[in-house]
Amino acid sequence: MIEIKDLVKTFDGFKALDGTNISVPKGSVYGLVGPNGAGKSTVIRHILGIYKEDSGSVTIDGTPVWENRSIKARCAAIPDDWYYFANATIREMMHFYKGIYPSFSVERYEKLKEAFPIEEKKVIRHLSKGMQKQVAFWLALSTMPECLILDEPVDGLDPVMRRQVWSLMMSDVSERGTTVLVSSHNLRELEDVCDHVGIMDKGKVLLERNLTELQDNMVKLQVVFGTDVTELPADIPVLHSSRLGRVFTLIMRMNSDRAMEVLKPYSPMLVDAIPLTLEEIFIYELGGEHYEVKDIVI
Amino acid sequence: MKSKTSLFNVTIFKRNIKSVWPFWGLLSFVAVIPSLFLIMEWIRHGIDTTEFNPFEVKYMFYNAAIYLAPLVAFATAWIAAFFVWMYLYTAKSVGAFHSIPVTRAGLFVTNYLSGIVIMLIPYVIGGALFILTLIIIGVGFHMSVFVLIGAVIIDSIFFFSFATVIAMMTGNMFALPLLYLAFNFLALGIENLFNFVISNLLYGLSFSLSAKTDFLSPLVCLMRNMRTVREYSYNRIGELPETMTRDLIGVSLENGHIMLIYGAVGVIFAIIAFLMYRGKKSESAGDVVSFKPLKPIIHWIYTITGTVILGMLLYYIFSEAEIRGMNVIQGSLCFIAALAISYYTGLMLLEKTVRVFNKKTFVGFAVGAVLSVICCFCMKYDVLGIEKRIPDASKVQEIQLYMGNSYTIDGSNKELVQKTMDFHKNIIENKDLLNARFFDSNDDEEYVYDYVTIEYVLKNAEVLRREYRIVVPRNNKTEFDKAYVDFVSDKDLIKTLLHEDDEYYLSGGYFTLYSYNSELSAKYGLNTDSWDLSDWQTKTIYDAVKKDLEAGNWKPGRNNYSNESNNVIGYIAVFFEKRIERSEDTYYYNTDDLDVNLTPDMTYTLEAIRDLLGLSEEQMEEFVDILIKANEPVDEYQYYYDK
Repeated sequence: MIEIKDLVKTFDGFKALDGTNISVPKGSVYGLVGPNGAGKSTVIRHILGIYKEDSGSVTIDGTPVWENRSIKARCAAIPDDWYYFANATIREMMHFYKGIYPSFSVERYEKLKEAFPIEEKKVIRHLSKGMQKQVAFWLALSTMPECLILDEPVDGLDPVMRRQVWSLMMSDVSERGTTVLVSSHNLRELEDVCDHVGIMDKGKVLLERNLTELQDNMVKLQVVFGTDVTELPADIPVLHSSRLGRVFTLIMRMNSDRAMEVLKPYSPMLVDAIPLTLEEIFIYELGGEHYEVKDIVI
Repeated sequence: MKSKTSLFNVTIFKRNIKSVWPFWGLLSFVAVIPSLFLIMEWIRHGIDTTEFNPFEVKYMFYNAAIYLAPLVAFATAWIAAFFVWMYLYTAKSVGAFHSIPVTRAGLFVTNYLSGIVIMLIPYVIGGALFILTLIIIGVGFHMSVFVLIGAVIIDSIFFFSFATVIAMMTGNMFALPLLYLAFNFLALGIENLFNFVISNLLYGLSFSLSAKTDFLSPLVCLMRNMRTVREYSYNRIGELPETMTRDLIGVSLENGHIMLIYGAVGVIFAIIAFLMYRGKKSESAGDVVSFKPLKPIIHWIYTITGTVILGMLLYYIFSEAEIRGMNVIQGSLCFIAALAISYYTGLMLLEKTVRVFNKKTFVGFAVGAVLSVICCFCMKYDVLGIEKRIPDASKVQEIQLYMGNSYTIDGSNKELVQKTMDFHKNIIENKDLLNARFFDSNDDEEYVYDYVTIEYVLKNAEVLRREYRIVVPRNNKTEFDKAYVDFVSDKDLIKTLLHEDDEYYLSGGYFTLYSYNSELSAKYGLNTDSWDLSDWQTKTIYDAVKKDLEAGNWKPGRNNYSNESNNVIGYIAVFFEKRIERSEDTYYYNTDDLDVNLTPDMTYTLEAIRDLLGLSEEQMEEFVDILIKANEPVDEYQYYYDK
């Protein structure tokens, strides 16, 4: 279990993390989402032991990560800009990983050759960005990680390869109980794979839930009121509303049954509950934090 | 391969060594060249192994330990450090290395050892081959090689540790070599920079390279202070050294402890570097200075150095063409302008932004500006008393005086010491007069120029050196002018010049005639213009010069040095020697010389020369006339240039 408590990190007076709290259950796939500059990569660098916290704590299975060799040996990371040695071939990098990670499995590495059809003797520098990313997955998965930390992991991969790597990761999660923390802006993709989600903004986690709970806790309704209701009643608690003719679209922070009850006194002629996508939850949650989409005409 | 300990990672070590093979490969190639050369010589011509006297081999190894080892270590340490610590300089690589399951202690030890090994590989390859070659060609194995091996290891540890501290201090790959170079020579650089400034702005101070702080510039300190001392046994045939044969009977290393001290400092540096690495923030990758507390220190070092260099340059440009001391207003303006440039560019480099102009930074600049003005005032009014300083006579061990000739005045000669000090005081008191004459007089015919150097060697080994440009009119006008002439002609001083009452003895000499030409050669059958003097010839010339001196035909000091007489027809040098016993069997020589510009007035000396050249009195008269005519006007530089 990855546990971050009250994490604070300041860079030259700028507070990048301001009391961040994250809890990633063991064996879960946790999606960390947030706008640019929210502090997601900073959180990831703390989990990987790259940054030392100014205050707060970062633990994996209750043990602090900083300068902890055994914890780091159980984690693999694929950062957005994966590092490899200049002029190193895939095989040479494999030997390096093998020497560094005690749990590195050559057998698995050989098996994964099928999934990643790239010539091993090729110099990584000469590969395309997408292929380099494949190499990163190939090597990271070969370390048999108990914890996989991913920052924009499928960026640059083609759709087939995206499915391929997600499938490999999911099988690791289901077979070996690997914990995955993934930061991405591709919310549609995260929605398919994540079971937990944390939304970050300005160095803080705004909300952190099980994805199902999150989706249950917010509802989108299309409502048509009677002719006597021309405006949306002020006492209906909505996160966001819009109107097209007589059809109101309401976003409410509650489940659909409760929303129906709230609307009942106004005797709506039609109420239709539509589940929200993760992207919509993200947009409406941050809208409340003044990060809404602005209608700007240039 | 998995590492068994957490402090050393074989995989990273191997990768480090492998990745920089072109570097150590090239150095190894250079290192094997001497051996290859020796082997080829041996194969082609054979080698006379008697030339490889065991002491000569020892001398070679010791010299390599003193000069080669620190020089190579200095040059290669930063490159090795650059390779092994390079990952600290980009966010991407530092993230990769700090996320792998190796602790910082493990990374440090592994990379540190990698760097040392990278530096030593060429020595191991080249050195082993060289030792083997010496054995093969019959020179044999000499234990003194272990001194060289020790020096190589110690110097490598020191310079690599030093480079590692710098590597930890910075987060920028371009800053590493610059800071390494700067910090190696910073102390000496600043010392000499200030020497340069005060020598330009304070009266009587002359610029000469000094090395009081050389212990802070390790390369200079090691190469300057460590010495190989050779001991000889002499077979005396005659009195002069040229007539002796000598055999090398011993070689020893002097000040070897300096190397050991630096070795110990190297270990301390390694520990400091490790502590710095533990505290180094990964996010500092790219920063010129990684540690916040160091930023103001480095900023001010940069600011002060830049201000002094640039300030002096501006002062040269905008002040007088030739600096004659400090003009407070001009100086302050120049130094404040230089401060502004240095201070703010320093901030820009450190903060990686040009937006450094704010109230907070202005306070620092204002403080610097006030200090600059204060320094200009201190220079102008000699607040520290540097210009006026004359040591206490009781503390003087010796005075080295130079006025056309060099004079060594022993501290025990209290009367002459006092006279010299009075003369020194007189110069200081007449600073304005002498400066005005020097800078404003254009009439070379009327004035005589001389340089006077007074160097006090004090009993505590301190040296106080002053240098003055003395300008006096041909017809003495002021009290100072008379005092100057009196001092130059002082009998005690002349005794010192002629070494009449000391242990120096004549050891040789030569004389040369200016404007010697084929006309003279044909007429008088002379086949050279320069004659080396034998023992008796030296004595003859010396006695003749002495007579001319007593008769007032020759005056040392300005008359000798300057072109007061335009009819200088030649030059005489008489050498003196004094034997200094080092131990019962060994000794060395101190030397001095008497320099004389020969003029037609020096009748006794000319007569002695006539005897030496075998000319008659009539011939000599004609001979001198020809020389005078050929010499007019005297232009020694042109003479040598034409020649």
